[in-house]
Amino acid sequence: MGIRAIKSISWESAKESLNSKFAYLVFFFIMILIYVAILTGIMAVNDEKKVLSDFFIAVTQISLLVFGVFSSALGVSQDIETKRIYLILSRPVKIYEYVFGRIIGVWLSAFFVLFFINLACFLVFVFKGYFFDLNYFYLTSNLYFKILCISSISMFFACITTSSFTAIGISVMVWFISHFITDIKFAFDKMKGSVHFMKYIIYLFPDFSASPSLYSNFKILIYSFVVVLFSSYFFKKTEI
Amino acid sequence: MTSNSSIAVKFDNVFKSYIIKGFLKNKTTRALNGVSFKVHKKEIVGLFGLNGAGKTTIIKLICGLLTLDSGAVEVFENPINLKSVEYKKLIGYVPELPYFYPFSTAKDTLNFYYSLSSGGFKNNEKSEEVLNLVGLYDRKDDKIKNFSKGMMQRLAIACSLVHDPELLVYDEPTSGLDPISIREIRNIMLGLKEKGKTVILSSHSVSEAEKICDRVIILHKGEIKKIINKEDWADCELEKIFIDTVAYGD
Repeated sequence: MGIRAIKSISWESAKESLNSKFAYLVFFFIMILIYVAILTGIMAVNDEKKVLSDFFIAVTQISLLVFGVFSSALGVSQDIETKRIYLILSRPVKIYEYVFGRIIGVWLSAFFVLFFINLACFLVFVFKGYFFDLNYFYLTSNLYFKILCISSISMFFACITTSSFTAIGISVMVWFISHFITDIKFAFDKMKGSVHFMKYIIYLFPDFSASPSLYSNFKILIYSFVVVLFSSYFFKKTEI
Repeated sequence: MTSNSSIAVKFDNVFKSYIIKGFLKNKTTRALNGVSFKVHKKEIVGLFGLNGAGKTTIIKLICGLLTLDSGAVEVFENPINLKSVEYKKLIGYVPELPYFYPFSTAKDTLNFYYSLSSGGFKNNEKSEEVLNLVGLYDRKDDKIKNFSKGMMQRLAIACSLVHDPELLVYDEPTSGLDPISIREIRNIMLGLKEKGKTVILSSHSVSEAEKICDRVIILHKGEIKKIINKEDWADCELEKIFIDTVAYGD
């Protein structure tokens, strides 16, 4: 039963995320950025390929971050506000099935957004007559793992606070902190006294500062899974 | 999962409180104060009371959406707790002011809710059958964003019926509807009773209760003040009983 309920909820959740007004806004934003990328590329003259590639990676990062964080935070809190969650949980659905279904739906829709941007990038490269470097796919797939993680964190805070604004705010802060984990660890190691113990708090954050590898992606994946498990646990405790 | 007993729902000395979180101190509000009653199979029971009387809390407890503080709730002899969800296959629930995803069609929505009850499978025939029952068959492929309030309510009733449950729990099913829609929903509920379903509904409308309920439970401040059978109220007397109970019940 578990997997099938998760599949039904995640499919519905993905459809909702991609059909929302917010998703249309993100797609519109992506289209503008792609247009800007092409113009910037022309101005770059000799380094056009590199500028285009960098610009597309930046577009992917911003769009996926905004899309992932907002979709996972808004999905749960809207279900609570509209009381639609009662309709779902009055069926033979466990809370962990609901939470996993919701987050997998966000991951699926984020994958669609990633696919859309990669396709646009590929077409621009082909149109301009450049060789499409497969390393670009590698970079964006690493980025996708970070999005899985940050959307799980956003879901976690949406589940425990039932407020989308709080969830979005905290997730964006975690996103920035997680990119400087190595530096923060180094700084804490240099400190002495009671502040020294603060360094253990840093282990609660995902490490996005590590250079992308199969191992670091695996760690991020496990971290995301644990965060979703905790989300289910705390959501069960919350009286909705 | 259904039993041979004639009891569909049993509340035994149920207490329920809500915690209202404050800045420095949490406050506790008691919603149900030792509530006990039984609902027999194939009857329509109305829960009546002022706002905050505990009607919705009772409904949410039956549907397994809340946990009890103490006491016991059974649905077809299945004890209610958050760990077990299988008994929910026997329940069809309509919340007050139901919300559906506006870009989905009526048929897709029903298929989604059917899949949640059936273990992931879709059933187009069943979805169309219940849409026909609630008079929405012609609108099955329309997006929900184009539906009126009455149509949304009928769709919610269709969702509660799509998995063929034994017990139907309706929270204010006619709230905010026009007289024609109210009559249509009333006829649907009477049709369900004829099919042998048990219906529990909460409402503010005493005239509605007189027309469809076999029994009425009057709640006030989380306590059951009176349980009245259909034979015990003559025409238009239920309103008087209700007001007398609620106004002078303390």
